[in-house]
Amino acid sequence: MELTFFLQTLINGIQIGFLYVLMALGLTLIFGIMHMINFAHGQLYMLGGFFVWWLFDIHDVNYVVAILLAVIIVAAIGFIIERFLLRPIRGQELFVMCMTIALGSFFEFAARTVWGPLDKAIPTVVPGIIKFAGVAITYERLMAVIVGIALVIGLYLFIQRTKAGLAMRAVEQDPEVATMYGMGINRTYSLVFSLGALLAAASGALMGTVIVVNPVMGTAPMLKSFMIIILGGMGSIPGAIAGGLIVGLMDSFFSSLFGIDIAYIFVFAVAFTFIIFKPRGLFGRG
Amino acid sequence: MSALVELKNITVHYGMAEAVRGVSLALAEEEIITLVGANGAGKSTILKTISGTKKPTAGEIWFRGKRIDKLSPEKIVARGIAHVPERRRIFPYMSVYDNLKTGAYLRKESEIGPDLENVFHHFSVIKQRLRQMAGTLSGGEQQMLAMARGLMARPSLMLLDEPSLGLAPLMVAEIGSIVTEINKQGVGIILVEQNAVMAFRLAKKAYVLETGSIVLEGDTVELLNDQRVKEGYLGI
Repeated sequence: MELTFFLQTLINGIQIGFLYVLMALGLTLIFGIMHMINFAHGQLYMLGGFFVWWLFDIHDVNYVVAILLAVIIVAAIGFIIERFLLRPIRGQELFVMCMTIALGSFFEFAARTVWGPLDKAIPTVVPGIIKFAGVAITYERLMAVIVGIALVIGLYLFIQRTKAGLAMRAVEQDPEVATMYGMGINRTYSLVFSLGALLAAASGALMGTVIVVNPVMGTAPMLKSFMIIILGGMGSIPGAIAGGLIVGLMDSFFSSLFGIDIAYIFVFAVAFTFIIFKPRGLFGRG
Repeated sequence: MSALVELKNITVHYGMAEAVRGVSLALAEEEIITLVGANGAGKSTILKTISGTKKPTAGEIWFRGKRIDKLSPEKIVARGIAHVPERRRIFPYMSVYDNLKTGAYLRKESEIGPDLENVFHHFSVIKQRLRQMAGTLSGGEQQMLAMARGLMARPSLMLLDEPSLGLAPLMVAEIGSIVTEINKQGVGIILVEQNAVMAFRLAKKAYVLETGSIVLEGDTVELLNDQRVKEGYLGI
């Protein structure tokens, strides 16, 4: 493999990896703290992309404002889902699973009904390409990576440094004792699910600007996110970061070398291997 | 002497099963009482009912003249009742310092300085380990951390569930003297223990529980001479 080609593939892998990281972080937070799998995560991602397109392209809202609004709207949708649809069935795993699957389909068909099934391209706001050592990256992709990294750091600081973050960690480790000391489970679950939705939407918004948006755009990234959190360790934040980057790089390298379908097969084959031989993943506890 | 906390005819169920039946007890301000009894006698359930993590099916709980049995655990801890649960239950993947902060969760961060000093005064070992992951502490240190976390809530009543469980005799003695120190600062304590020897030495009054009911109660000095207590709980 030529050096330039290698570097280009590496940079593409890191870029896609960070968007996977955002998506997987949301999924792993919800799993780690609420002990449930959100099967609507991919559709929240899709809504993030669509709201940016709808606000920016259709309603001429400022680009940055459109992204912020899209993310906030989806976080609010996450809040409503947790408060009114998941809380009444909390602890009943099968119902929770069915509810999130139903929600995922609901959003997918709602998007199809409102916005149609076709691809929508979000126009480029920051045209241009940076080149160095024969490697090229568009400003758009560079911006997506920077925002992605900033969000990961922001999330880390939020969890480690704020009171709400302390409650999230306490509820994760021992909900009963957390309750004894006044860290309300309801409040924490609302926050965690909204935050998870926010991360999915941010990932979808950034990805939507790089590629296109359509009602089924969330399915593949969601499936990959499942593989990422298995690889990294379910519920682990460092695991989601490492796993996201690994899967991003695998995607990029395998699809450059063997084509996109083979790349898919590889990612899932690696996941099988982990499920069988290292079910707690790279950073799992216990 | 006014009661700090009073349980009136408390009954608690887990599903259909009755765990506690018609228990009444009272603790005066700044007093230590102990609940002794075998596994499953309902001791821990009583503590959980006081701290609000378990709701009674009948009866009332009064704390400083206000009824609290319908309140959420959050409101109860805010009123000054700290529960130090059985088997320590510290947050293992958090630093010692963060564990202490969870105890003071409902209080302003600017106010907790004196409480930290108080905790370091009682538990000097904790001060040296603030940055350490709590799960890596020894059993005795974890017990101290669990009690320290409780103190961070600045309680006037502390519910201590089996603080001696699984600890070496020397550590048990140390925990015992810290319990006395904390009590001398004006904190009332309900101590649940299987180690009745330790419990009777610390407490003024004892309640003996069997299958969810109080079968015996009185001053520890008198109970020490009771034949049933001697045989059943003190092993004399």
